[in-house]
Amino acid sequence: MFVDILIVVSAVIFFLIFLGIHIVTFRTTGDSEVLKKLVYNVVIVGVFQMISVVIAVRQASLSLVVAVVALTFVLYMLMAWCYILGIFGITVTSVRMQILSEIANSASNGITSGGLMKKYNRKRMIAQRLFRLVSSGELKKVGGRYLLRRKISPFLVHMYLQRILFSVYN
Amino acid sequence: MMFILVSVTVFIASIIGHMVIHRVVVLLGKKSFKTIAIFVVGLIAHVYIVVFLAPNIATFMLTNYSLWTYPLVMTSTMLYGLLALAYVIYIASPYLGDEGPTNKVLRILRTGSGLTAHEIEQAFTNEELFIKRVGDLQAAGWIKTARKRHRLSSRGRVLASSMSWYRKILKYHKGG
Repeated sequence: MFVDILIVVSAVIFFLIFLGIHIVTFRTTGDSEVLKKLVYNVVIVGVFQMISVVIAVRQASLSLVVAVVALTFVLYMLMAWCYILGIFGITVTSVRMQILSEIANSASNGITSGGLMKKYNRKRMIAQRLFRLVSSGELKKVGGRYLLRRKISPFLVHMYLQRILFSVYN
Repeated sequence: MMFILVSVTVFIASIIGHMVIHRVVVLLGKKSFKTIAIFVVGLIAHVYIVVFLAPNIATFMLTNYSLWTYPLVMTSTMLYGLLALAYVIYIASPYLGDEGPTNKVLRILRTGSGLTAHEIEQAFTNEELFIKRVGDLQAAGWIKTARKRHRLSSRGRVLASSMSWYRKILKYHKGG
């Protein structure tokens, strides 16, 4: 029972610590290298969590210590994953949310599709994505042309997985 | 670990169930995101199984559990819930029939010797970037369109102001 409560409580506490550090990092370091900052925040808090859990259950058997550390880490990572994709990612990158935001900032009598596209168009959308991909090290710009830096990366794995899911669900 | 195995098994069964139900619903000509309700059914099934497997307090105090049989009711339930939530979030975009713009940029850059920003822009159309998405926002009831002008509905206003507060907290204003 104690172990069960320890795993759940520790995962939630360290997720809240991650949120706090994530907010402070973004507020103090600006809007460049978004992905790098997120990964560093998640990993640093995750390592700190593993050390803390090992200290908390150090008198148990080795197999129990390994199981508790692994489960706490998995729950923490899943919470971070849900937050990053479900809240942060949608707010920062979603086209739908940006359209909603532009409509919210328009005059009280609304905005036409043409007016919307003047404020938020494909040029701006692509420029923002290229900026994010270059600053996160995914792309490089050589002589005005954008190129992939690596043949395999977390972004590309994500792209392949999304394409598989697309063919499963469509 | 038995409890964790239950979580993972019920989660995999829920994914398979979701895909099957989705296919059936599509065959009937009605595509709906509501099919994710199968994960709630999975959660109920999971809770039922782990509560059935879990010992009462008195038995727990008197028993020396191995790593395999140690009762992890809360951990396994939270694990199932988070796995289901992570999966639903992850499939949302492909489920809606979208290829995210970032994924498309990476896909078109996989071949060839690179592209300029202008060439990348040409791979996108207003239809795929805006018109479909504005339609989705209307269908979700977040925006209302009258006399060709889009306005937020009351639900859309709540969402937009929550997003605006969140961006202020992060000091991140480059959305989209």
